[in-house]
Amino acid sequence: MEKKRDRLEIIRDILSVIRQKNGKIKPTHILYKSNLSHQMMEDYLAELKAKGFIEEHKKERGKTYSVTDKGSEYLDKYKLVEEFSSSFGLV
Amino acid sequence: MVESLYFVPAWFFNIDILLGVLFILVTSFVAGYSFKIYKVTRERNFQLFGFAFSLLSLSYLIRIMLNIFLTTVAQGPRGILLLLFGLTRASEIIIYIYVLLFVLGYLTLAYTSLRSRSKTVYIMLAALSILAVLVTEYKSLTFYFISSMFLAFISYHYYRRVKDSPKNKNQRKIFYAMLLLLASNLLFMIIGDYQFYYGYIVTETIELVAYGLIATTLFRIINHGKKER
Repeated sequence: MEKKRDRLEIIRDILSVIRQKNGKIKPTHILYKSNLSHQMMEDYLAELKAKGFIEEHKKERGKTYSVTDKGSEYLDKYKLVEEFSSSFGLV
Repeated sequence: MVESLYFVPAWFFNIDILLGVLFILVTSFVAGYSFKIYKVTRERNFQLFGFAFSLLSLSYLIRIMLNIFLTTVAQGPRGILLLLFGLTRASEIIIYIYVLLFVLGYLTLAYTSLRSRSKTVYIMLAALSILAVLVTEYKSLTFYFISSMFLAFISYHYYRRVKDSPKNKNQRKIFYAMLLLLASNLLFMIIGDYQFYYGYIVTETIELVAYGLIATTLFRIINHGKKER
């Protein structure tokens, strides 16, 4: 059985999906790619927006998301963050 | 009432100060790194973890200052006795600050492992721990007992994690480090009445090994992180 993803992994997955299609990805695509329930995805997106990791762009046909510099820094340093948190039991 | 916090043999005194400096370096390094990761992730756990290690670092700093200050106060024929009470008002206050920082440091670590978001739980635990030390007649015994309780809880948290992922070597090292800190604290509790001449040296050596494990784990993490980038 596959291991359940922790918070840090879910955030990494969402940010990676958005970065792959920077500035063009719609919530439905994030939902599909991140493998989360609709409510969970909404909660994570709200949290990532509040933390300044992503930006929301309102368009005529709904909204799209892009990763900010802060979000990119998270992805770049993810390995270090993950190793620190798993070693010190912080996940 | 005069009560001993610990007994330091005179010849070990300067080495003890040096060890204190090493403990400050390791705990500040862990705290600094945790805050750095908090800046990247904005996850509350990293902030709390950094805060816990900052408190421990400050407590070691105060212990060094206390030791240096007390050498002229309580020099005995076989060593230096650090007195918990019966000293000047100022040194009593400094000892209380040390006790407060040390207990709050381990309490914050234990609270971090609880994953609780409730500030009330934290305040309640802090108030109970501090009040217990303040009102009891056996202050040093209570102080070591409470910090041992928190360390036992933290060790159990790491034990469960090691059991869940036995291949994670870093996590195993941190578990051993916490167990050693617990052992050192329990030993401090036993030697509080200075019956045991080499007891203090043994506890400090155990603590040194524990912080050595923590420091080498952190260096390993940082090195891996650099290689990955």
